[in-house]
Amino acid sequence: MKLDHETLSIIVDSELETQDPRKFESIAADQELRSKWARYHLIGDVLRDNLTDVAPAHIADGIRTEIEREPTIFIPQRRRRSWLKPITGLAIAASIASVAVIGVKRSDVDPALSDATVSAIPMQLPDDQIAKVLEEPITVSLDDINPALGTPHTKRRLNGYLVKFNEQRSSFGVPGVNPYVRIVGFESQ
Amino acid sequence: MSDSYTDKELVERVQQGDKKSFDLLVLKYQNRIVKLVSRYVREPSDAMDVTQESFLKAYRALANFRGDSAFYTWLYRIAINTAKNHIVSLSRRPPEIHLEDPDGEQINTEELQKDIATPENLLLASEIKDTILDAMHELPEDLRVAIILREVDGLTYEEIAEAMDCPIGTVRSRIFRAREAVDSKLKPLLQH
Repeated sequence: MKLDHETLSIIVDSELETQDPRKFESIAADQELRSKWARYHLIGDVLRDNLTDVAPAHIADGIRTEIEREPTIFIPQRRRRSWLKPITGLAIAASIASVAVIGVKRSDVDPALSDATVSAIPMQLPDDQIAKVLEEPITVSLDDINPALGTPHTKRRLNGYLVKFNEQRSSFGVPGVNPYVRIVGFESQ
Repeated sequence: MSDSYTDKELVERVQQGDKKSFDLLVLKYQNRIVKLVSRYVREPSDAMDVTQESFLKAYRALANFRGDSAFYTWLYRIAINTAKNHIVSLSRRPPEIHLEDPDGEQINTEELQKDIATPENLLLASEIKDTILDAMHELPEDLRVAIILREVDGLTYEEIAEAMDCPIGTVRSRIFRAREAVDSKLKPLLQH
């Protein structure tokens, strides 16, 4: 992209109607345009009485040399889509609400079903054995795993952890967790 | 459209790793910052150092610049703080060392530095001012009025078009032709 001098003059005045990001690349890369950019601004500075007794050229050269030694800045571009904010907030609120609703539902469940029930298929069993196993669901109580897990205090702590897990997972995603797993619980029917 | 729009674009480019865009900001604001710093720092050589340091500080802090204020306002604050820190550091500095020359007379190193720093600069700055102002006087009136309304009064092209009762395209052209006429006198002076 080659800029003509009239366009440069318009850019100096911030009056260019089309916002082509390449325009600054062209100015910075082209020695002639860069010098003209500096002189156009110098003319404005003199007209506004902004020039002191110090000649300008040396300062910019010195700064350019120093900046070359500095590490390059790179920050991710900020999201301009401000409408995402309320939607993200809504998603978090919905996650919390769904966890709360599920929690309430679970408290209504028959106490007999409150122990975890897990069905599993053993990998190396004869066919007749497999059929037998499938007919009999395996029930694992928290007390069987660790009696301490069954106490109300532990349950409260685990619940708190799971609520936090689900809140964070909904907004950021958790590496290693299957995306279709929405809710994780330590009690199941 | 405001000046800060161009600045915003340049700042974003620097924040995306384009150091050359920072150079354009330096070229744009160097004179204003030198003038600002000179109000606090008397010595021209010190004013140049403080200006350079201010721009470097600005570059290093640019990753944290969020554009809540205009870039120049932000730079202005950095320059003022750097100048004030310089004054504080001067007050803590040990007294100037006075060297003795072979004839037994004392030489003030501060004076020596001042002599090295200024005469050429003084002359060049004075020549730049005279050249630009002379070139302005030689401009046809419509070009001179257009560029003064833009550069001194800070009017937009639209406002100038209204004031001069002409199309915006004519304003663009007049300002450009005025700049080119002045620049043709200025360019040879800066090429030495």
